[in-house]
Amino acid sequence: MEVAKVSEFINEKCYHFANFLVDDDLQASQLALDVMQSFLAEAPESLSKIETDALRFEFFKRIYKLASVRRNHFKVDQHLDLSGRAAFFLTYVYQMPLLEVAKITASTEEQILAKVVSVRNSILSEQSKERGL
Amino acid sequence: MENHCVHERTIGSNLLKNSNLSDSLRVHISDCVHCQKKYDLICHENSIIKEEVERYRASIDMKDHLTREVSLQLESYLEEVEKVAKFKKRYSFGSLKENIVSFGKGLTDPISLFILFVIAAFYLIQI
Ligand SMILES: [Zn+2]
Repeated sequence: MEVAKVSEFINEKCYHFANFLVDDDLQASQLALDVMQSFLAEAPESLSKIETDALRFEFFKRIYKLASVRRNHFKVDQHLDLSGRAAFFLTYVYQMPLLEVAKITASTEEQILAKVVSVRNSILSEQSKERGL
Repeated sequence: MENHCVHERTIGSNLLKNSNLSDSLRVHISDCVHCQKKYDLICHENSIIKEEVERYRASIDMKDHLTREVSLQLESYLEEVEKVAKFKKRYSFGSLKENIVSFGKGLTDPISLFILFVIAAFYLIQI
């Protein structure tokens, strides 16, 4: 297992995804670290395969699940559409196959596409409000 | 917005998924005003989205914190694994076998063999 590679994955991918999901940097870092710890406790040898898609998908899945479980304890906006934001981020930003995103968010591929468009539009309308357009 | 060209939809759905356009579609865009307009609009929107998404990346301080935490957890795990491996090596069956062999080798000198012979004879006489 290469500590530097795991660390880079947590920094660049997991935290980014988690923070987009919950929009709270402290909660996001906790989500990323807790999920890594769960792998360390259950299947530490799997961390040596951190560069495989299968393991990465599993990380994102756990982050999403944990965020859903914890959302009631978050002090953040309860209106955040977690599954929509997950679907948008994984599809649009990480370019994950729809089939995988469907498994992670427990939705159909059509639902995901609809979510991607809706989250995309809500970001755009939010931004145009902020920019006073 | 009303579609003016049959390709506008394809361009839209490709760019909404952030995926690349085919070469033939690119050529078409340069010739079609409607598609050009659609393409420019979505590219502009995508740049706004990209900026928004970047906002969620870890700050330098956060990266330091995460790197520290990950290293701490992984290194303590790796140390533990090393300890267990050392322990196993010391008490493994392999080293037990080595000990027996080295004990056996010590018995091949004439004096040890003589002592063994005497003990064996003693027991045989007793029977
Ligand atoms: Zn056209």
